[in-house]
Amino acid sequence: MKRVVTVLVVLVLIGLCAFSCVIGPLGQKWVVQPHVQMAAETFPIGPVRVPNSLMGMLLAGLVLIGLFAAGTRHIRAGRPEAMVPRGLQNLVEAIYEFLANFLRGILGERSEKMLPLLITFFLFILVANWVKLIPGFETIGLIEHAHKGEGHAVRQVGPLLFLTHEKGKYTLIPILRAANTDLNVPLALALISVFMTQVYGVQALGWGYFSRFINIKALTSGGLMGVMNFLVGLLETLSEFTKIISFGFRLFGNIFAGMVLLVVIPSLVPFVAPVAFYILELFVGAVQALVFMMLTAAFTAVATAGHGEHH
Amino acid sequence: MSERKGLGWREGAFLAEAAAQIGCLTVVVILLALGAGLWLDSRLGTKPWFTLGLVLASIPVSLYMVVRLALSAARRAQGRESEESKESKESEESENR
Repeated sequence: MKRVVTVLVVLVLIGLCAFSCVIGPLGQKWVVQPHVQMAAETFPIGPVRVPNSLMGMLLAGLVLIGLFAAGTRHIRAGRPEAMVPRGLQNLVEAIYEFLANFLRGILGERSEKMLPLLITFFLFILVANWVKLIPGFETIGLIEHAHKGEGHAVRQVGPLLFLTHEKGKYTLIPILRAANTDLNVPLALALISVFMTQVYGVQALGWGYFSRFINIKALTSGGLMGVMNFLVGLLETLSEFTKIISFGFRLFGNIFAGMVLLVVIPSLVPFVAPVAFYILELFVGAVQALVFMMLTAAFTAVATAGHGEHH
Repeated sequence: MSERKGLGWREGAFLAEAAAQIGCLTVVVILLALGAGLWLDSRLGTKPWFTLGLVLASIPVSLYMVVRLALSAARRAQGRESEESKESKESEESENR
């Protein structure tokens, strides 16, 4: 029976792919050609215009707060059933334990202070990257007059307006956009990451931590090697600034490219093919969240270990 | 690497290098495929086949490359660990003598 079901599923998938290959390009006639904009679009809420990436960020925050508030309600209330976790509490505890153990491997006993920040980085970036895959992101919004470029005509169906592929003077301002497709968000996260690395460095090594950047002692008493050490310190200072840029642009680049892909591919082949890219985006979203957390943890390990120290 | 102490300066820098490479790889491969596909389609008038084919092919390629990179980084990390433990054992033995 299982084999029959498997064969049927494979046959249906092959059929859908064939259908997509034949009908897909024809579907372009009905699809609105994509318009990709790097800066976040703004839409009015009362007297102010709010960027749609902010709405995506708030949604990600609400999902996270809701999940963890619901998952930890028994623990916070001090109820005895919290001792035997069930349902959401199991999920929340499993996520925390996995991440905490992973980070303890990197940071050892230093990790306890840093866990809240690092785990928040991972979960926020993960949820912000994944919520953009919900249908309606970047496709539902307000229709406004197009200020520049080509607009589209609109068609009314009941109370709703739809953009059509015909030329016109209207454009769509989506209400929701993935937070990390707006460069401001990854850069803000990068600034927090690099700033907190310095804070943890000072906490671990005292004010002597800054001697890795400006090493006056080496310059005055170290001879030629001292001068070299001083110059290396200046390079270290520069590298802290490049970290902000690399952190920010890596996350932004990956997620923005994913957004472009999810806009371009359905406009070429509207059926079936986009599914593969949605799966890829799930993977990329998780990898980017993990990479951001791991890099912050690794840089913190470097900052708190002291120059030249290794275990 | 000690479980309690965590990574030191060198291991931390090594991990950062590997993570940074893995973080950039997927997007580079897919954007190259997308760019090449769009260019070929516009030159040959075959829209959307080259774009679709190259981008679809880039998905397993990028996943494979990420896994390869992660595994080779893990192997290099293990090699470094065993070398360092060898060195520390040798230095302990020479101190005992």
